[in-house]
Amino acid sequence: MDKHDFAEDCVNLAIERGADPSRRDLIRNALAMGIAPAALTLAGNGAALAQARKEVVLVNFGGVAMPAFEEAFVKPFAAEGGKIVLDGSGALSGKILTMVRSKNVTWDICDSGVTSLGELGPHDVLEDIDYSIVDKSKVFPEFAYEKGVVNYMFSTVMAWDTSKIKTEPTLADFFDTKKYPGRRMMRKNSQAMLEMALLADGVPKDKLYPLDVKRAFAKIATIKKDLLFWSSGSDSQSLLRDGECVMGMLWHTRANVLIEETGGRIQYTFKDGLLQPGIWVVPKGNPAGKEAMRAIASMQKPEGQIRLLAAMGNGPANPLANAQVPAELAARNPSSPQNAAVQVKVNAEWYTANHTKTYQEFLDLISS
Amino acid sequence: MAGLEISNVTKKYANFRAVDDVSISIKRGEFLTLLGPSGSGKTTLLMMIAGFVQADRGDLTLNGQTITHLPPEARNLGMVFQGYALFPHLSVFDNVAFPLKVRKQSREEIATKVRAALDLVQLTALADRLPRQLSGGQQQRVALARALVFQPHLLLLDEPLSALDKKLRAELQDELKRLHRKVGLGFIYVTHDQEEALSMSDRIAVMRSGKIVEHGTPTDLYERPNTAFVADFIGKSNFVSGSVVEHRDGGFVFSGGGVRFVQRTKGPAPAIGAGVSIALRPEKIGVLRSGETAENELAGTLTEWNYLGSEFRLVVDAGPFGSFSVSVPTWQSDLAPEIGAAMKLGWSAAAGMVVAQD
Amino acid sequence: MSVHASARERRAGLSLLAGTHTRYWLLIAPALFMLCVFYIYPIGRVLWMSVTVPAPGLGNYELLATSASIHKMLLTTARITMVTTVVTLILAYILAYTLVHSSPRTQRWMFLGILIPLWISVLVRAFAWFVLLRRDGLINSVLMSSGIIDTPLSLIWNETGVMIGMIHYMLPLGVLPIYANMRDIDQRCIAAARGLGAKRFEAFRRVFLPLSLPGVVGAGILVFIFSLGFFVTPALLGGGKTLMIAEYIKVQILEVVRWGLGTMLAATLLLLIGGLLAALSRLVNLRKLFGAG
Repeated sequence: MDKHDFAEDCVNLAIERGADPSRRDLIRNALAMGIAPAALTLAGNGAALAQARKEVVLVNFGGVAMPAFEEAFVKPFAAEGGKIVLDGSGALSGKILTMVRSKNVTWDICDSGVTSLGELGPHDVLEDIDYSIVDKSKVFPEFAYEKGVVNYMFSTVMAWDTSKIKTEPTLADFFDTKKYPGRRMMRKNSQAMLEMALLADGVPKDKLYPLDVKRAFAKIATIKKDLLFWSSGSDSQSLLRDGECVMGMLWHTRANVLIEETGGRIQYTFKDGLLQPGIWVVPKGNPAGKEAMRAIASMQKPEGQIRLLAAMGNGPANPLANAQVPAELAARNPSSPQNAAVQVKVNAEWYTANHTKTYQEFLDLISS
Repeated sequence: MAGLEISNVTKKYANFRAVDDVSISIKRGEFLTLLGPSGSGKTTLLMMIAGFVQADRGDLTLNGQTITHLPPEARNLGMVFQGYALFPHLSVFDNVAFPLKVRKQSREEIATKVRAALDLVQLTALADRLPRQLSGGQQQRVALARALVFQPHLLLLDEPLSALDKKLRAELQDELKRLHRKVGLGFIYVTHDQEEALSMSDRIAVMRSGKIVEHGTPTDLYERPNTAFVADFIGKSNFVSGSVVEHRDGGFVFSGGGVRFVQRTKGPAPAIGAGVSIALRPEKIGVLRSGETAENELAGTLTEWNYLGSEFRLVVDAGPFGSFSVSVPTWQSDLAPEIGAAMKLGWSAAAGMVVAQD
Repeated sequence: MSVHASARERRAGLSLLAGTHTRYWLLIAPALFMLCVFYIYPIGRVLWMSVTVPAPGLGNYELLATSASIHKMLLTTARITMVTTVVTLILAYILAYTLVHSSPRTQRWMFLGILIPLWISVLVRAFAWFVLLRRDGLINSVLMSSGIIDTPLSLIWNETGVMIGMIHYMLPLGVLPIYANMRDIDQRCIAAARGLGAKRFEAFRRVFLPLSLPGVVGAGILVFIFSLGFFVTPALLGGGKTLMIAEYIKVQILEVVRWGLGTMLAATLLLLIGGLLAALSRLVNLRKLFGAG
C-alpha cells in the first residue's frame, strides 16, 4: 500500500493525539478568517445553485480527516455553489478496481497516492485529470499527472534517538551499524525506502531515477538483521518512542509528534528525505462527471491547504500557499521552499512502471 | 495368615467419619459381603482395601504383609467397579489382557491366559468386540474376567449387579457363586441389597455410620441378630419392648404397655427390671382364629393388606405397640381380610429374638 | 437379501418419501438460498478468478511450483503453523488436564483466566506482548537484573515473537475441545487401570491418553486452521519480517492488485483445509468433535 496509508495515517494520528492544539487552531483559524460567516451568508445562493450542480463524493480515510476536510475543502466549495459529500471509508486500490469493474461507481474523488497510479494504471480504471478546469499553475508541476493531481505534500524522513546518537546522523550512518549500533526501522514498503538506501550508498540526487533496485536491495540487505519494518504510522511512532530503535525512516507527521512526545529526545531532518504528493484520483465513470474536476480546482486554493497543514501537518500542494504559511508552521511544512530544497521529489513515472513488481520483491527480501 | 486382616482403620472427611475404627478379616476362599445402606461407609472401606483411599489410622495386612501404604497397583487385588469401568477404546480381549500387559508378560502367555479367562465367563466368541457393543450382563462378565485374569490375592466387587434388571441379576448371582467356588479366591462384595447378601455370602458384615454393627453367616444374622438395626435391615422385623418382670426356666417374662410377654432365651436372662427389646419376623406371627390361643397375644385392627401370591402381607395397628407387619402363607389360611376388622396376633415364646436397642 | 429385492425396496421407499422430501427442501430453501448468494457464489467467483485472471488457464497455479517468493512464504506459513499447533496442543493438554483434576472453585478461576483473553482484542494482546517481550521489556529486564543473561534476548520482531503471540491466542481454542473431551472420560477407568496393576504414568499412557485423543485431534484441527489464516499477530509481532499466507493474499488483493495470484492462493488454502478435514473425517467423527450429534 502506498500513501493511501499516509492519508489514513493522518487520521489515526489525529485520533491518537485527541484534543490537540492543532485541532483547536483549525477551528480558531477558520473563525478568524471569517470563513464560517461567509459560508452562512452565501448558503442561500449556494443551495439554489447546488440544485443544478451534481454532488461530488470525496473519499478519504474518515475520522478526524472529516472535520478537517469539511473546513478546508467542503465549506469553501459550498460557498462557490458546489457540493462535496465526504465518505470516510478509505479508497484502497483494490476497492477502486472492484467498483469500476462492477460498473457500480459511487465515488468521484479519492484521496490516494503515486503508487496507486502504478497499481491502477495498467487496469485503466482512472479518469484523466482535465487540466482545462484544474489549474496546473497552482501545483508543483512535477506532481500534476495525467491520471491524478497532487492534493497535499508529505515527506518520508529520517529520525533518531538523541539519547543514543549525539550528533545529527546522515543516511550513510543509518546503514553503518558499527558507528551507531542498535536496531533501525524502515517502512514495510519499498516506496521511499529504496530512494533513501540509494542516497545512503552515494547515488547523487539527480541520478536517483530510474532506481537501481538491485543496488538498493543490496544496501538494505547489509543491515537486514538490525531492521524492523513498520506497517502503520503508530507502530513507527512507538518503536522510536519506546527505544526499540535508535533510528528510523518514517512520515514527517509522525516525527513531529515524536518530538513533542519525547520532549525533543527524538529529532528528525528533512535533509535527504523524500518529498511525496498525496494525489486526487477520479475513478472511471464517476457519477458527478466533470463536476469532480471543478471540486478539485476549488480545493487548490491556498487558504484551505494552510488549514489542512495546521490541522494535520500536510504541506500545501499549491506553491502560492507557501508565502501565506504562518512562520510557526513553516519549519515543519514539508513543501516549504527551504525544506523542499534539501529533499528529493518522488518520480511517479517510475512508480507507475515498476512499483508493483518492486514492492513484491521488497517483501520477499525482508521476509526471511 | 493367608487372607486379609483389617485392623482399626479409620477414614475421616472433615468432621465426618466415613469409616470408624473398623476391624475384620477375610480368609482365602471366603465370600464376604459388606452390607449397609448408602453412606454407611462400605464403599469407602472397599476403596481403602483397594488402595484408592488412604486410611488415617489402622492397618491392612494381606497374607502377612502390611499393605496400608501401598499404591493400588502394588496390591495385586482384582476389582470390579460399579458400572464396570471397562476401557471403551479397547476390545474385550485387550481389556482382559490389560493387567497382563502392564505386568510385562509375554505375548503367548497373555493370549493363553486371556482365552482361559474368557472361557471362564463364557465370552470367548466376543473377544474382538468393543465394550459398547456388549449387553450389560456381558460387560459385567468382561469386568470379572479382567479382574481375575492376573490371579489376584482377592477379588473386590463394588455393587457389580446394581445396574442390571432383576431377572439378569438373579442369573448373575448364581454365576458369581459358581465362579467363586471355581477360582477359590476370597471375594469382598459390597452391596446395599440384603437379599443379594443373604443368597451369596459365606459371611456378611453389616455396616452403619462407618462401623461394622455385626458380622456373621447369613443364618446367624437373619435368625439371631444381636441388634435392632440388623434385625430390621436384614429382613423386616417388628419390635416389642418392655421391662423384665420374672425369670422362668429357659426364659423370662417381660411387660410392656400393660401386656405380659413370654420370651425364651438360650443364655442367661436379663436382670429383673432391665429394659428389653425383642424382634419378631413377620412370618413368625400368626393371626389367631376365634378360640385359638398362643403364648403371646396382642389385639389390633387391620389397616392394610396385600396379596402377594404365596402370602398375605398384613399391617395391623396394635395401639400402643405401633404397626405390625405380618405375613401369612396363603395355602394355610382361610383369611378374608377386611380393613378395620379386629384381629388377634399370636407368637410363640421361641419366635422373638432379643436384640440390643440402639 | 438379493440385489434386486433391495433395489425394489429402495424404489418403493423413495416414492413414499418423495412428498415429504419436497416439503423438507422447501423448509430449508431460504437458508439454502442465503448460503448460495452469500457464500457459494463469492467462493465460486474466487475459484473462477484464480483460473481466469489475468489470462485463462492454470498460469496462477503454475506459480505455486515456480515462484521462489511463494515458496518462501508457504514455507514460513507451514513452519509457524506447525510449531504453533504442536506447542499449543502440548500446553492446552497440560492446562485441560489440570482443569479436569481441579476442584470446581479452582476450575472457575482457571476458566476465567483462559476465557478472558478471548474477549480482548488481538491488537491489545499483541501490544501487551510487546510490553513484556521487547528489549527493555519486563522479561528481559527481570532476566538481566537477576543476572541470568547479560544481553537482552530477541523475543520479539522475529518468528519467536510471532509464535509466542499466536500460541497465546490459540490456547483457549486448544483447551476447550480437549477439556470437553477429558471431562467425559470416566475417572473410574483410570482407577480401574491402577487397580489392575498400572502405575500412575502407565494408566495415563494406556488409558487416559488414548481416550483423550479425539479432543486433541479436534483441537489440533481448530488451531491448525486458525493459525493458517492468521494475520494480525504475525504482522504486529514479526517486526514486518514474517510474511504468512493471509497477509500475502491481502497484499495481492488490496495493494498490488494481482487478483489472479491472490485468489489462487485463497483457493489453494481452501482446498488444503478441505482436504485436511476430509482426510481427518476418515479418522475421527468430526461432527461429534465439534459438538454436533
